[in-house]
Amino acid sequence: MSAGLIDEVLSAYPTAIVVGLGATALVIGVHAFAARSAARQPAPQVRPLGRLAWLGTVACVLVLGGTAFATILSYGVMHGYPLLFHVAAGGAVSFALAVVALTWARAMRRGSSSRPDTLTRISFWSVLTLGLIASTTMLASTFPLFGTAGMEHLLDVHRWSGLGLFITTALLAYLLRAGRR
Amino acid sequence: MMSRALAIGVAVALAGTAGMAQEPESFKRTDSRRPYAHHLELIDSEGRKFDPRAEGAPPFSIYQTCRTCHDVAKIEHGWHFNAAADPGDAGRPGEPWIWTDERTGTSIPLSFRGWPGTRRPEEVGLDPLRFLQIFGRQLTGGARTYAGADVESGRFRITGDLPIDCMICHSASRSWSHEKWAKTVAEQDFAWAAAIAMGVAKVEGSVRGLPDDLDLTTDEGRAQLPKTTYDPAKIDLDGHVFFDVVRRPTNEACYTCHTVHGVGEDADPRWIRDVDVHLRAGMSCVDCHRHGLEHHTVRGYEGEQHPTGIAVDSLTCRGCHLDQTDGHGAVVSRGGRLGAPMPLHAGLPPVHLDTMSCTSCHSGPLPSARAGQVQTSMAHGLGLPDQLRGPEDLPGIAEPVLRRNAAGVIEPVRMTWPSFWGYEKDDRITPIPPDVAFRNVRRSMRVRERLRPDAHAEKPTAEDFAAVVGAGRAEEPEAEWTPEERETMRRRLAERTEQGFHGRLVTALGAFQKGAPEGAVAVAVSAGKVYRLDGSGEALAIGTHPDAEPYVWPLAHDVRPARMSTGANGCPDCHSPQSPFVHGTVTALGPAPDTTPRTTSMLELMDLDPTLTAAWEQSFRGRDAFKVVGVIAAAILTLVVLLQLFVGLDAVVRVLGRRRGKEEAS
Repeated sequence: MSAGLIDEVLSAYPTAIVVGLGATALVIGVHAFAARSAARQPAPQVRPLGRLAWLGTVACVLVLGGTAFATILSYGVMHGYPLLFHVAAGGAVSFALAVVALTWARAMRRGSSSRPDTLTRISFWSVLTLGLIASTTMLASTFPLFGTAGMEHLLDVHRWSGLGLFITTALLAYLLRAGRR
Repeated sequence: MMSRALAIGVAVALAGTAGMAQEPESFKRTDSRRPYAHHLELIDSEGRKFDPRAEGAPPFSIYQTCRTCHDVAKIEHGWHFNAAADPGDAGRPGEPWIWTDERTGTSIPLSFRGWPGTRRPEEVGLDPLRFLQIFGRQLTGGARTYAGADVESGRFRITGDLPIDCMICHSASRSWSHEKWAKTVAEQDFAWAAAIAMGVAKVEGSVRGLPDDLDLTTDEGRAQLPKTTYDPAKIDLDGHVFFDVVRRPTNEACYTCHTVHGVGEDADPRWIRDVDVHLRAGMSCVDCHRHGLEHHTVRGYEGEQHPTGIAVDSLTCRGCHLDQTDGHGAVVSRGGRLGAPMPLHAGLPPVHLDTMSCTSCHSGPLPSARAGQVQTSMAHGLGLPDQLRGPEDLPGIAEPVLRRNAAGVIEPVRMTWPSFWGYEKDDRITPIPPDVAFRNVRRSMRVRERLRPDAHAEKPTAEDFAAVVGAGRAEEPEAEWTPEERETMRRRLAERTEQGFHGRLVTALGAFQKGAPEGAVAVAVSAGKVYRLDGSGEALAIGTHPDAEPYVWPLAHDVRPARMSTGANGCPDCHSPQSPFVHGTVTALGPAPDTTPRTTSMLELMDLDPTLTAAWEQSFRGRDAFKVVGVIAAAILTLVVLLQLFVGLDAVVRVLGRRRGKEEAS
């Protein structure tokens, strides 16, 4: 992939936000309509701490997405109070995801007694993986390890993994919620 | 004969020379790296060669002498000479000329370039001749092209033209005297300035006392002009004079006009201060501030447009140290000129490079709790010996002051506050020329030499001693007082001094009001405040006005080494409640005693939200703990994800193994 093509892709981020969020909403909407009378899957067996951590994760991801997408689409950059809230939520979500990983991993494995469906499992592990990438890129930038070019690459990776995290979290939240109805 | 030639030359000056423009073919180059030895025949202002050894030899014209080989007509449109000739070429606002008059406390930023916040010299009663007399000390000549003088008429018939003097910058000889140049120009002996400053001639007499209507067509008139005598030791056997010329001016030549030095109780002594890191690395001023024959010196700020059309981006901080890329990341201009190291800025979020100039972290003194005070060559006549020059001299200039410019970028600047007597009308304050103002000020303010806070400072009385330390300790030396007692006495005296000053100010403003134009109100401006008479006319009303706001200009030197840049010690250099970068203050400077001077924080000048700034500062207090928690959380996530990855791999291996087993069984 040529450098020019990579730059083209990276500069399409605002478009990707709109398309990604729109597609996610569409998928969830269509699935909810199509599966409205289907049998419900039992909820995964998770400790209360795990559920709390998951709720915290969802709340933080909502804040992260709201602060990021609104400012990027409006101004092209994130700064001021949105950036402050984004950073605060980012720190919290790193911690929450670690707790979620410890408390939900067994229930989300293939062959667990909870028997989550494939889509739910894939969503869950995508959330953890993308969350790891998004938080690690910003954690790395707090150390004097990368110069300006490296920091900009970290920021690009963070943006895209963050978008992915938001989409997969929304999907997983829907699937877990749908299973409990 | 020679006196007649001189008189005619003085009378026609540049008008005659313009008519004798050299053809481009006559301009010479050697195209060699070896400097050309300039043994030159001297030429007078009329364009005629003369023998300096002859009786009654005229002052040589540097303009005519140099233009034998060099296109001086083109050169005189260069940046240092062209304020009047090329008014559309103002560029970024820079250091103004500051007209000061200590007797009246006047300090007015002036410029021919129309920079916002400055006034044109003629607005405040300075005609070109007077401007040259006052500021010629730090001017490279250019009566016509810089000051817009009509050098063919008026008093310029007698003074002669003050053309650009190449030797101010291009002389390698330490015998070129700034002091002689300044004194000669101040005496209106413009035509003689180049010869005297170079040290090749002396002059007897001066133009200064001669009447404006001196008839130079008569022998008696011409006889009153100064007599020029050339030093025989400076003239070779052929009647030529050696001009010790260098192509690239030395740093010391630049320092003639561009020296800045700290003053005041917070300033380090001279021997402590370090030079700019670029100079320490072996560079010179002209390595960056360069130009071609057109002499349009590159100033080195981002966005600078050079009149030749040549891109000068690579001569800015970023252009030299960093690669310049287009919107798609392709390199359009490589950094690294002259071996400039590429800064990594490791750990610095890139947003800082967009919202802050390079100079905000790398230039000027390290920010401190209070902005320091400096004096500059242009403002304070540095370079001219003066045993009376002191930190209280006008104008007061503060640095470094951090502010957000019109483009929204944080940069360090120097700041000075105008002070003058004036008339306010229609939302504008028009300064009163100092010599006019002094007529009222001398009597009503009881000024002898200088109008400034310490001129009428109150002395402690017995009542003061009794109130502060007790009557029994009145004889005790102040050194034995407690710091609180000293501060109490200082405040007491300052308040009384201010009250006394205000009382005299009411009298002065009343006197000015009597002579005020129709509808105008007499005011005094100092340190960002405007003093007016209130409705009763017997007390002061103190307010503000846009014409009283400080004038600022960006600073870029001296550049500190990387380890001394702001941020070298980490984020708390800026993001902490104790950070002088954000929470430092600058106090307005002016000649009026003021117990409540306008003091502004850098936070306000940088247009930062105080709540947001405080929130960021608090967040950095827990940053180290956050990093530890973050690393642990990331490690846990990584292990869990890896474990699942291995479990998944294990399942894949088993599936592949079962299929292989079935194939073998079949």
